[in-house]
Amino acid sequence: MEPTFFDPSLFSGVLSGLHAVLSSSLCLLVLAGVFLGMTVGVLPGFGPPAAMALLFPLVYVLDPLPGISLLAGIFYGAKYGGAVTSILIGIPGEADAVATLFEGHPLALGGKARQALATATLASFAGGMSASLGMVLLAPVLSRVALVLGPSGRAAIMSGALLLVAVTSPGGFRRNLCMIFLGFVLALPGMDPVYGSARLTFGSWQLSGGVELTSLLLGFFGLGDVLDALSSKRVLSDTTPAAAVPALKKRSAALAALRGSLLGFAAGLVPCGAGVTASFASHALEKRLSRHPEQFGRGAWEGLAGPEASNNAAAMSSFAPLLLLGLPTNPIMAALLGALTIVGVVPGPMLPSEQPAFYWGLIFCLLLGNILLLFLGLGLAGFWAKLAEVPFRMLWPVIVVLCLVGSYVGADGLHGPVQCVFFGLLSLFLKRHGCSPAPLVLAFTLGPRLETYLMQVLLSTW
Amino acid sequence: MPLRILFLHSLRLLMLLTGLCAFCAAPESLVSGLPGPGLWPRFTGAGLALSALLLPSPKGQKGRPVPSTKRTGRVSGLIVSCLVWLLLLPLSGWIPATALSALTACRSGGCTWKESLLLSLLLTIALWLGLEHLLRWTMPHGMLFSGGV
Amino acid sequence: MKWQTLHIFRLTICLCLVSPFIVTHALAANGTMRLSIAFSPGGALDGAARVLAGEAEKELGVSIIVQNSPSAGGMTAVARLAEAKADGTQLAACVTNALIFIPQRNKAPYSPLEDVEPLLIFGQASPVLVTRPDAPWKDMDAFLDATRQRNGEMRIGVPGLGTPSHIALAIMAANDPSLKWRFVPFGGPGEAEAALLGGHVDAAASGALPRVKKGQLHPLMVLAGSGIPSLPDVPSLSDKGFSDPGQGDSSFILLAPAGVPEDIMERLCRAFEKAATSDTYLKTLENYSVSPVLMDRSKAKSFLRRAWEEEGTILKTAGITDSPAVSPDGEKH
Repeated sequence: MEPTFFDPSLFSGVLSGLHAVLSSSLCLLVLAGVFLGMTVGVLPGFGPPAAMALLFPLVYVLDPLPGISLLAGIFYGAKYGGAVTSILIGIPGEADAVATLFEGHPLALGGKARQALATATLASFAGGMSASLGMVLLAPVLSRVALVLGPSGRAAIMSGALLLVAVTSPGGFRRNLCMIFLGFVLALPGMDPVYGSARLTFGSWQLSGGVELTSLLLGFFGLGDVLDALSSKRVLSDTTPAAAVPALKKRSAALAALRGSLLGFAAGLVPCGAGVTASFASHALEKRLSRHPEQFGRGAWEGLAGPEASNNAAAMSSFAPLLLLGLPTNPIMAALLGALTIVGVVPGPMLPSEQPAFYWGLIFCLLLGNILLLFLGLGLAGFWAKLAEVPFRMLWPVIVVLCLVGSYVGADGLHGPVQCVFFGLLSLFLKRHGCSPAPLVLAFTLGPRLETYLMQVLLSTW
Repeated sequence: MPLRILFLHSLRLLMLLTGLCAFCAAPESLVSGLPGPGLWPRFTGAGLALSALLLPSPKGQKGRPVPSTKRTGRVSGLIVSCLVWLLLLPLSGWIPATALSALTACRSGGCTWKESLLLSLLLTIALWLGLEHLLRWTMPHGMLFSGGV
Repeated sequence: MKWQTLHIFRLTICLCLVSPFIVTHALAANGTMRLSIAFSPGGALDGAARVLAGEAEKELGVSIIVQNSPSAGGMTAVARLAEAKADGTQLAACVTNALIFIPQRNKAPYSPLEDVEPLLIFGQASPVLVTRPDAPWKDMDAFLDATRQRNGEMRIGVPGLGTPSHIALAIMAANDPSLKWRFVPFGGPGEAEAALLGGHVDAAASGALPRVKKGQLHPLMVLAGSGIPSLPDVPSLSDKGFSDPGQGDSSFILLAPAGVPEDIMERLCRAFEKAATSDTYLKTLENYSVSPVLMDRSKAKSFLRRAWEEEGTILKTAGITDSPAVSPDGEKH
């Protein structure tokens, strides 16, 4: 029996889910997960998958709902931690925090760190809440979108996002197009996603893992920014004048968050690089729609609210294909799928009616995590912002060491930091020639998927 | 003069070279009649080379900003501290490498001795607690200390 | 915020940050071993290996710290193991893919037959060929007939070209000229099933056993030599008279560095063999599409050697390569 659009029987389990969540131990577990996730998210290079793998043993010991809720709490906490480092020191914890730093970091440099963090928190909250609402009402129907939209549809979505970013990023279309192809080429070395054979590894077995994403992100945005700041002509005062930063207009930021939530919600339902695609697309969209596009890159509030809302919304809605179709849309969801298998929860369209306590309990746990993050984020904004007042001469060595160690951990080998340093120098070179890193990072992340979809289309019709 | 032209078009040349490299180093595009592992590399390599040719020409040179000794000192300080870390890691393990590298970076950035020592110490301890104790991640301990910590 | 509340707030944060240390230290017992899993968290190997380690902990009396190092398809984990101290505290669990297929096609920094020593083989990934529940073919024979009628239009989703399920089907097709399929690769978990249910392929090799048991997917055949206990009515490759060419690449193997002292090896082998026959472990395997194949140390060693020698020829028959990357006598590049 296929679930229909607004089937009342789907809601029969809501009360049992609510009951499960309101038990105090579950709340504490989610809180613990959020804190741990935050600690992990703040450490660049050490992503949520590693933290979740460490806590997997607990999933065997705990009951299904508490165990999964702990993991989901870590997931949320890590997203928040990633946003904090993006804004404060310009190092993205993971790929979907990159779009946050485009506007968030200049705002922090301009002395508005506290407001930037608070805006990011509020936007994330809005994204998470609206996506939860969408999940509750529409998920069973919308999850089927992921089924119907095959490889060609997904490739079209990703190409659309790339095109949007190419048109709106600074530097001009031709430079951005070149950066996109460079991103694709950088993603080439390693094992072919279809045949598993090594290509472009030039005989080095370490390269058969490919260019590491962590090294790329840390090199471009961590080392690269530091190199740029150290070698640029502007006077290295420790703070830039606050007057350079545009003023916050609450209404336009709120609208940006709404648009971002819609974009993120839609993107999370389909495997198309959800969080990354949505946040980059949201930033590009905000720039296109803005009446003051020249503010973008110097601290436009809409450019911060949109991506933050969209990547949280995408994170929330990517639970829909996971729970209802068994289709994970990113590596973290894949790990959660494994956890579901361990605890004996079988994903499928009938999950809400067959295991209502679990399904609705999980949704309420995610909502709880969202609310907890709102309070934590707003409360801690002042605390984090104090860190941003550390003088630059003491901050940049910390950034450099974090990038080196983080890329080692992320790549599980010395080739990680080597690549990181290389990308730092490359980033400086590209910046001096007026090229923007956004299209490159997006193309790098989406390249292998795009290739897989292309090959799937070709192989099924050859 | 030719050197100046080379420098002017350095981005274009680098991109062109990378694209051609990817195109030529790719494996076969067709395997037993089906699309093979080399199809996408050839496509993206060619795309990169073509888009490199289409790049807008660099604007007339305003003259390279004369690097001040202070800035060059800072940048080389960063490079040196990275090298220190990379070279010390397999020898002495990650803790001495991190501490020394942070110290080098701090000093070249203009921190006083007190600030540098304090910062590198705090950073190393924080990372040690976080990685080895909290997250139980194995970091290399180097050839000299292969007895293990 | 008033400064008192701010301080209380900061104190709470410090407490919360300290508590994980206490927790993780409490979890560590006397003596530790490390098990490195050559796969990302969440897959069948990960689940099976973690439970195996958990059972073996009880036998050995030491705690086993489990970590994932999935990079380079498992080569990093095996390479690390090959360099590790041979004292029995470092082990790795991988799929034999990382020892056979990958080193033959890529330059690996280890010699799979000399640098590492197998302890045991504790399972074989046995994907099931599934179709939609409403498909017109209800068993394998009907499916093969439909394939012949469609004349090359049938699409099967496989985890990748060169994977055991692909090879098994490709060799089936190579031996029977009337069978022709289009193989569409799907990388991650859940992708092939989603493509199947969305109508983009007609059948798929799936590892999602619980979904099959629930009836969301209809099983046709187990794409491995031995069947799966919880699907007694579904034939395996050998039941239908086909060969199991993928066995060399799909077995789960536990490895130690070469040169571990014999008495330690004996103790470890005994403990893990006992763990692999425990009820908890076998029950875990029911959630994954894994056959409870068990091979002890000596059998595992000869199995690896045989599989290495056969790999090149198998790939060529299946049409994956135009020429084998390694000569059959085991010469590596």
